[in-house]
Amino acid sequence: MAIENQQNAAAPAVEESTSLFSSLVSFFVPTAHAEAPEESEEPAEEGGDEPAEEEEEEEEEPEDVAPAIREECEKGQCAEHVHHFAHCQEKVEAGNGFPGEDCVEEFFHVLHCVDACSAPKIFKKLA
Amino acid sequence: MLSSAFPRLISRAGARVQPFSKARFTSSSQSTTSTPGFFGSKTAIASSTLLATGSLVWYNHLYGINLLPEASANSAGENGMHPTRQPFEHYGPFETFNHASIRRGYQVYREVCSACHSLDRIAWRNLVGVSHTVDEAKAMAEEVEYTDGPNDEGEMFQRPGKLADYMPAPYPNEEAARAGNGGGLPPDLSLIVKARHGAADYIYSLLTGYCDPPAGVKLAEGMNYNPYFPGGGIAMARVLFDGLVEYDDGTPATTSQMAKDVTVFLNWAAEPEHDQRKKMGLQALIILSTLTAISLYVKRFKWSYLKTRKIVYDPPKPARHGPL
Repeated sequence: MAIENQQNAAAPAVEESTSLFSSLVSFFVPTAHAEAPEESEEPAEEGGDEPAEEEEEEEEEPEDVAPAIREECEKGQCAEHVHHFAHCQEKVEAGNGFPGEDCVEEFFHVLHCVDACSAPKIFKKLA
Repeated sequence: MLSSAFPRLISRAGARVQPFSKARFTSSSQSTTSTPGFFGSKTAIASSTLLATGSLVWYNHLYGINLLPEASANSAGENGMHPTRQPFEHYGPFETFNHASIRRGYQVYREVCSACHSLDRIAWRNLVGVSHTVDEAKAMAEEVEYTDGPNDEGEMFQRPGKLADYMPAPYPNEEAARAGNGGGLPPDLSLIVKARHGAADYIYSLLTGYCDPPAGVKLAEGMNYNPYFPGGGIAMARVLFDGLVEYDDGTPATTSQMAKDVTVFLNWAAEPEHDQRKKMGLQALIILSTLTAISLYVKRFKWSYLKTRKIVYDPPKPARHGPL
């Protein structure tokens, strides 16, 4: 990914090299340069403009994909764990549990299922 | 057989046994038990008891009372929720970090995390070529004032930062950090990915995992519930909310996006050699596989004349006047 990001900066350097050998080498071994390109002002200006436009466009906050995906998992393949967890919550909150009982383990079972179900789906949507 | 091997030992042992056997025959007399030696005396019993008790007391004085039960984590809640493996891009054996993500993650660290967490082991120069260009890194460093000196008059002075400077810490010392966070110490994040079980998965899960505590969980005052944190009660509150930062590249800054980016950034901070390491791994694979292929070829080549030779027995022709 580093190479992809920096290729804009590296491209002029590749074109400049006149030697056949060095251009051949740089074709197979692309080199990323840390220095900003000479004409860095123009892209900076462009970069400055773009977010400003986007600011105007999207005033409202971006919405996270995760809660919807997790909810879907809770309703789908993790429904059984959610059911047990809800039962425990009901029992403990009504004061019918044994002294010191909590629903952490039931909650962890829900989380374990929902995490495994949602992680690939969420990461597919992330940049 | 033994006696032949150690003749002298055997003869001496026999000499030692002799008085014993004599004593056995005269056991009725008091003369042998009248001098029992030191280990049979009451002084020995008393002093050994004193030694045993004294060492136990001394040990407990030094290291605490070891007979009392120790603190231990046995329940699921005390151990914390085990983080699920998240499909990060850099998890593949030949995958590099997502450097666009590192850049965004740095922004999240700078705008959100750095208010409480230091990043002592990362200098501005480390960002160069990884997430920022050298000019960008210089500009960011110059925004921070560093104390330098002494100058010619022996006084310390303030100067703008340079690439060699390390990331500024939010608090001057641990006490100040604790005082500013209700007694909790925000850990340094330089190596946090390596310092926690579950590594990057844990950091991501922790940042996105804040929720209401399940029934029956009692939290101490000022604590927040996070199932991934061992014990459940964590002093840090949820910090990432949708739209908290604004990314330069226009990526929507949702909670999970920011958590992912800052996790990748912290993973890079803990393992800056990561990309180079995997590149070297591939290089090693190339060299070793080539050498293996060459050695197999050379072996076949060297053995070819041995493997393909044919031993032929050419029996002598029967003599003309032989038996047949």
